[in-house]
Amino acid sequence: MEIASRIDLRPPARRRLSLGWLWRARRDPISLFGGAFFAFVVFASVCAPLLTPYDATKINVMDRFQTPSLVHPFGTDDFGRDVLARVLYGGRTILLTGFAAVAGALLIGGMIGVVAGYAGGRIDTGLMRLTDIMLSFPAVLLAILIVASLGAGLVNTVIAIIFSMIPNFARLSRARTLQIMEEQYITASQSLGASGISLIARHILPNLVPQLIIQTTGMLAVAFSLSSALSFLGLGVDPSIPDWGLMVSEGQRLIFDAPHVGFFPGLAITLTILSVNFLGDGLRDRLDPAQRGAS
Amino acid sequence: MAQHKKSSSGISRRQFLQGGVGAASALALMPLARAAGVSPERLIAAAQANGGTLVFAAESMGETLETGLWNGFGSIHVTDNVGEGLIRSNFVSGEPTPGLAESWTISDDSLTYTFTLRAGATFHDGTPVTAPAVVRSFTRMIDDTDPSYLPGLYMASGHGSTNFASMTALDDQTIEMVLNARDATQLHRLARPSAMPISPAALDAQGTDIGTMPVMAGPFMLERFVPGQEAVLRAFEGYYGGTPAVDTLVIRAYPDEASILAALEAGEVQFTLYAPFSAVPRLQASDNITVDVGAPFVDLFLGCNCSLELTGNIDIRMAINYAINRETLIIGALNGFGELPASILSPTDLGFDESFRAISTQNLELAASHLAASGVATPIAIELSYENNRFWPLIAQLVKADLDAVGFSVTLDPLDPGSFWGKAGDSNMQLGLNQRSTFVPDPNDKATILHSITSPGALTYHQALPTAAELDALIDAGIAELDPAARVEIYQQIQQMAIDQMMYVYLAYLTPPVFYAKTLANVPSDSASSGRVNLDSVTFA
Repeated sequence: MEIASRIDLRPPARRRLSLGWLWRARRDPISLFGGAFFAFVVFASVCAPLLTPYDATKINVMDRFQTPSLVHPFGTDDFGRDVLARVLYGGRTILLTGFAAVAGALLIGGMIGVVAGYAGGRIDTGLMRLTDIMLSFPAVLLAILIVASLGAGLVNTVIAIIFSMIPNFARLSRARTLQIMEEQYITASQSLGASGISLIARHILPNLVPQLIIQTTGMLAVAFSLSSALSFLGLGVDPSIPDWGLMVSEGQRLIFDAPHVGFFPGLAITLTILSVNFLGDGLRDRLDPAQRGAS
Repeated sequence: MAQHKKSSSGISRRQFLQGGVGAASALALMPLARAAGVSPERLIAAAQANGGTLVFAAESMGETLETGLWNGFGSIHVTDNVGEGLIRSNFVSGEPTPGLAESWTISDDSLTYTFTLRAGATFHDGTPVTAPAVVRSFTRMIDDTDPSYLPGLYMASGHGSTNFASMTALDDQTIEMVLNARDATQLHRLARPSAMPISPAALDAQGTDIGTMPVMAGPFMLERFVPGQEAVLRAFEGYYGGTPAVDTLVIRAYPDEASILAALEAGEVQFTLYAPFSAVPRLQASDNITVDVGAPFVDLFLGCNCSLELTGNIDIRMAINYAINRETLIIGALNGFGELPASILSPTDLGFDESFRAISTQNLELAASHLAASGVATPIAIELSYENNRFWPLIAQLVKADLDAVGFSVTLDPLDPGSFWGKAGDSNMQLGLNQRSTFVPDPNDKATILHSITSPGALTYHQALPTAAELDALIDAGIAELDPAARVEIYQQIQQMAIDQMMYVYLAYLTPPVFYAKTLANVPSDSASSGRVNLDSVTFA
C-alpha cells in the first residue's frame, strides 16, 4: 500500500477544450491561415448556391470559353458553364470524398490497430502483416487498382481511398496502444478486473485521440489529393458532376487556349491541400508538443 | 525538334539546281506517270527528294503491326506508309487506282478478277513482289499451316477473304481471284491495310511475330518499331513510285491532345489529326501551322443494344434520337467541326440522301411522345458507355444532359478502349458512343455495320430485330449490284430501314481539322481526314 500510494495510478487528465487556443494561435499565423482558408472552402462549398447565381451543370454553348470577367469571374468552360460555380460546387465533391474516406479509414484502421496492439500475439502479427501488404502498394496505385476493379463512381472512390489509408491509421493506433498498455494505470485497471472492452473504451481510445486528430488532418490532405488524382485519371465521380480533379483534366486539353478552365480548380486543389497541411501542423504542435518541429 | 536536312532559308546553289532539274524531270515524266498509274504528286515528291524527318503525332500506337488484327489508328498509319496494296483508293474521286497491280480485268460475270503486277516492284528486303508472294499474303490469315497464322485474324474478312472461291498465281506477274459472289466493293477492299502484301521471306523468318517487324512493299520501310510508342520509317529507294521526298518518317504516339498540341507548336511534330479542336482558331492565325478542314468521312453515333429489354424498345431508341440537340453537340464537343448527320452513309458516299438529315433534328415533343409510348416509367435509368479520350467525354456529357432533360437518368460510364470493347463484346452495354471511319470510299464500307453478322461487334446486336433478315438481304444486294444507279436506290432503302429501326442514333459527321507545319507541301488532307494517311507525296516546302 505504501508503494501504491507513491505511484500515481490515475489516468492522465484529459485536456479541456477551450477557446484559448484561438488566442494562442495568433503566434502561429501559418496554421491560422490554414484553418481560416479551409473553413472558407467548407463554407463556400456548402453555401455555393448563395455565392453564385449560376447552375454549375447548365450547358450554354453560346457562352463557351469566356475569359474571366465581372460576369464570370473565373470564365466559362467549353460548354459555357461558369467555372466559378463549378469550383464552388466541385468543392462539395472533394470535401465529401475526403471526409468520408478519412472517417472510414480512421474507423477501420483505428480499430485494427487497437485490436492488434491490445491482443498482441498472433492476432497482432496477422493484422500487421496484412497492413504491411497494403502498405507495400503506393497509395495512388492501390486506389487505382481498387477503382479499376470496382468501377468508377463516388462510392467506389471513397472505398478505394479508405483502403489505401487504413494502414496509416492501423499502425499509428497500434503503436500508441502498445505504449498505453505499458502504463501503470492499465495494469492497475486490469488487476481490478476491468474487461478488455472497458479498457479500450475508457483508457485506450481517449488517449489515442490527440494522435488520431493529428493523423486525420494529415490524411485529409492525402485523401483530397487521391480524390483529385482519381478524378483526373477519369476514375473518380461521374463526369457530369463538378469535381476539381476532373476540371483540371478537362482543362489540360485547353491549357494553351482557355487556361482559366484548368487553372482555377488546380489552384483550389493546391490551396485546400496546403491549408489542411498547415492546419495539421498547428494541431500537432498544440496536441502533441513532443513532435513540434517534426515534419 | 524536327531535323530538316535543308531549311528553306539555307538552300545552296547546288541544291537549287538539283531541285530545279528534279522538278523539270518530273514535269517531263508526268504523262508517262499518268499512263503507269502513278500520281503526278508522288512523282514530283520523288523528284524533289528534299530529305528531312517528318514526325506524325498519333493518338496511340498498337502493341503490334499485325495487319490481320485491329491495333488502333496509330498502327494503321504505320501500315498505310509501310505497305502497298494491289489497289489504292482515291478518296477524292472515289475510284480505285493502280497500286502494286498496274492493271486488272474483270470477267463479264464480275466474279473473276485478273491482276497484272507492276514489273520491278520489290519488298523492302529486296525480294520481288511476285504473284505467289501476294497470294501467300492473302491466304496466310486463313491458312492454319502458314507459319505466320494466328487464330482470329479477323481483319481478313475486310478485304473479302470470306468471299474468295480461289486466289491463284497464274504466273509470276499475274493473279487470278475468283469470288463466290459479286462484290462491287472488291477492288477498294484490296486497298485495306490487311490486304497489303508482306514478304514471304519475312513471313517464314518471323512467323507469328511478323507484327513486330513487317516487311512490305510500300514507300517507306520500317526501321524500328517500339510497341505502344512509335515507329521509325525510312524512305524506300526501291519503291516503284520513286523514293519519297521525306527521308525519315516517325509516327509517334502521344499520351494526350495537349501533348500533341505542345509538340506541334514547338515544331517537334509536323503533322497530326489529333490536336485539340479548341486550338484551331489560334493555330489558323499561326505563321507556322496550317489547318485544313477535312471531308465528312467519319460518322459519330450512339449504338443502342437491341438485345436488351430497355434499348431493344424502339420507342426508347426513337426518344433518344429526338432528345439530342446535335447543333449544341457539334459546337460544344466538336468545336464546330461537324455536320448534321443523316444516316450511316457519309455525304461523300454513293447513295447518300440529304433528306435524311431531318431525322437528326431535336424534337422534344416527339421525344416525349415516344417515351410515353414506350411504356417505361420515368425516370428511366440508362447507362452510357464511351472511351475516355478525345471528344467522347464531352459528347457523353452533352448527350446525358439532353436525355436527362426528357426523362432519362443517364449514368456515364467512361472506359479505357480495351474495357469499352470488352464490355461491348459481353453484350451488356446499353448505349455506346462510337465512330465509323471510311476505310475505302464505297457505301458498303459504312453500311456493312448494319448487317446482322457484324452487329455484335458494332455495339447494337440488332440481329435481334425482326427486320434484320430483310436489312441483311438489302445490304447483300448492295454489295452484289454493280450498276451505280441501282446501288443508289438500294442504299437509300438501307438508310431508310436503319433510320426506322434506329439501332444507331446518329450524332454528327465529323469534319476533322488536319494540322500540319507550313514547311510541308503536297499534304493529302482529304484522305487523311478519313484516317488513311499516306505521306509518300509530302515534301518539305
